[in-house]
Amino acid sequence: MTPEFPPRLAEQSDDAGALLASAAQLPDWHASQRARAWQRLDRAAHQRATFWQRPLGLVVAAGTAALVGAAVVWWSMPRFSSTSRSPTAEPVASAPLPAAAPVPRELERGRMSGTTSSTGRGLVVLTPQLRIVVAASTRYEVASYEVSSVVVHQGEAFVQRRGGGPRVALRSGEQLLSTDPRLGAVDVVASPMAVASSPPPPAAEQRVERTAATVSPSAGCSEAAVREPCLRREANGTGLAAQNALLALALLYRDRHEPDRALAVLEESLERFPRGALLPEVRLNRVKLAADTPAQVLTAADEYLEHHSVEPSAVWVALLKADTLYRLRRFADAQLAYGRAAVLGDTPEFVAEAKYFEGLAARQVGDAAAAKAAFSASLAAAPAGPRADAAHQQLK
Amino acid sequence: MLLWAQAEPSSREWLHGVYCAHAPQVRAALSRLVGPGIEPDDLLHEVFLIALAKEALLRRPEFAVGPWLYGVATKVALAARRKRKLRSWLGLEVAAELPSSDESHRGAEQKDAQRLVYAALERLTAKKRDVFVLYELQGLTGEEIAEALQLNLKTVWSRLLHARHEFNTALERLMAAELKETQP
Repeated sequence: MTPEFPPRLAEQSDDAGALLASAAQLPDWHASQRARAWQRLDRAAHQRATFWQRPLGLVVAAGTAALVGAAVVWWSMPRFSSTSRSPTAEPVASAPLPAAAPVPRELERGRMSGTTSSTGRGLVVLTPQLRIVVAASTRYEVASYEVSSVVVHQGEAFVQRRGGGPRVALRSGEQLLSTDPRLGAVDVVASPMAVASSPPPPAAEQRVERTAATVSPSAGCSEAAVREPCLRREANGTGLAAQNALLALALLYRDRHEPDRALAVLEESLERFPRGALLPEVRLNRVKLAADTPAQVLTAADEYLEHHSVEPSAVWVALLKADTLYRLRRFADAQLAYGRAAVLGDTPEFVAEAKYFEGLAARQVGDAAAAKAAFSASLAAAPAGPRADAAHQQLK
Repeated sequence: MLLWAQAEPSSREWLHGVYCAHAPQVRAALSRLVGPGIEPDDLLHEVFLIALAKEALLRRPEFAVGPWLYGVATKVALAARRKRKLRSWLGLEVAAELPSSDESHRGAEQKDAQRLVYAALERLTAKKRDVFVLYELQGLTGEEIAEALQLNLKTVWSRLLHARHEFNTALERLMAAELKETQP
């Protein structure tokens, strides 16, 4: 006799059912993630297929696997151990935080990681761009190349620019780049919209990206003649140093007006470090580099917004996406995108700007009520802002 | 013979076909089988490399690839859970606490539910846990689980009932303990 299976617990209305129904939900596996996973599998399958056809393949594979395994075990043990061997920089006994700061450790170039002692007072690390105060009992990682980056795996650290400015607290699982706008603006870069060839929406040319920052001069690999091979050599390594070198290499190609090569390097970075510390920066640069190609910019912007909607640059990316849709005359989508950008907006002027263009897009769609509401919202957000007069005109 | 050889898809085409047809479901099953803290994409990669190694078997027309992949997924997930347990025992558990790419998208409430559910599942043996997760979370039928795990249908039924009882008991205890902690 076939046994009768009971109804699923998740279909029942008790506590267990509700918990199971909630735990069973998984985030979507997006097409880009799926494509990357397939590429990785395809490459592994291809390597496997060609390798075994060679004579002595088995012997070489066994030898290599043993060596790599031993190296990986040796390398990974201290990094993940809570009582790891001494970090590259010794924890300094001093006050818990900056007040009685210990003697700072200079990290001109390279990588430093470790766990500060629970009984000590922390550690201060100085990179060319940043002053980092690592609290006691903190597992941290600092890298200094083209940009400085800080990752706090566990514990707490405080980061500030060398020249002063706001201090940013990092807690377990958080990371920060020296280009992060939370540390104060370094430079202002023109929006990619300003250089696009097709006719822009009325104000797109005026916009500037407030969140992006230029990269400071390199501390190493600085000689122009050897810069590219030097970065490429470092990029072939592992960890934060390799991620940093890949990003620097992409920026180098961008500055040489070789966007295809820059994009390829960013793709390589995404593929090799799908959970890397520099992921937001890599994705943001991909959006910037794709800005001349509407189809690419939409894909890159969607991916950025999907993963990093809480990053400060998300505001700019959302606006870029909306502008691109407007240019493509996809007004209904643009209306929606401007609405979302307004939600992310962090200043009244930005909200007013996004709402104003939402109104223009709504008018193009023929939705007069939505257009009126958007223009009114623009005025309400910044009654004396640069869009106020135009919004008044539109309402009349 | 030559014509037949030309009509037969290459290994790459075959793998791509199988991947497109089954990868999303198998990945979801892996996510649910291992719980938080382990990257399902890595395990999925492992499952499909095993499938590639068994290509000749899987290419047989009568062979059901889907259930076989679920069976491999449960074994790969079990190995990953054991590895995590070993790392935890060796005091290397810090890395496992870093969130996987899936977790960063979850809301706090959902994370809480997931934490409680997987804490309760830790009390189950691997055999019962696999059946429970595939039935209750992945939504497979008893027959599909029996085929995937190469079990008798009655064995699946019996494991499921025991697993449900143990899960409910563990969950009640965990919730009671949490309630006690939150009360002043």
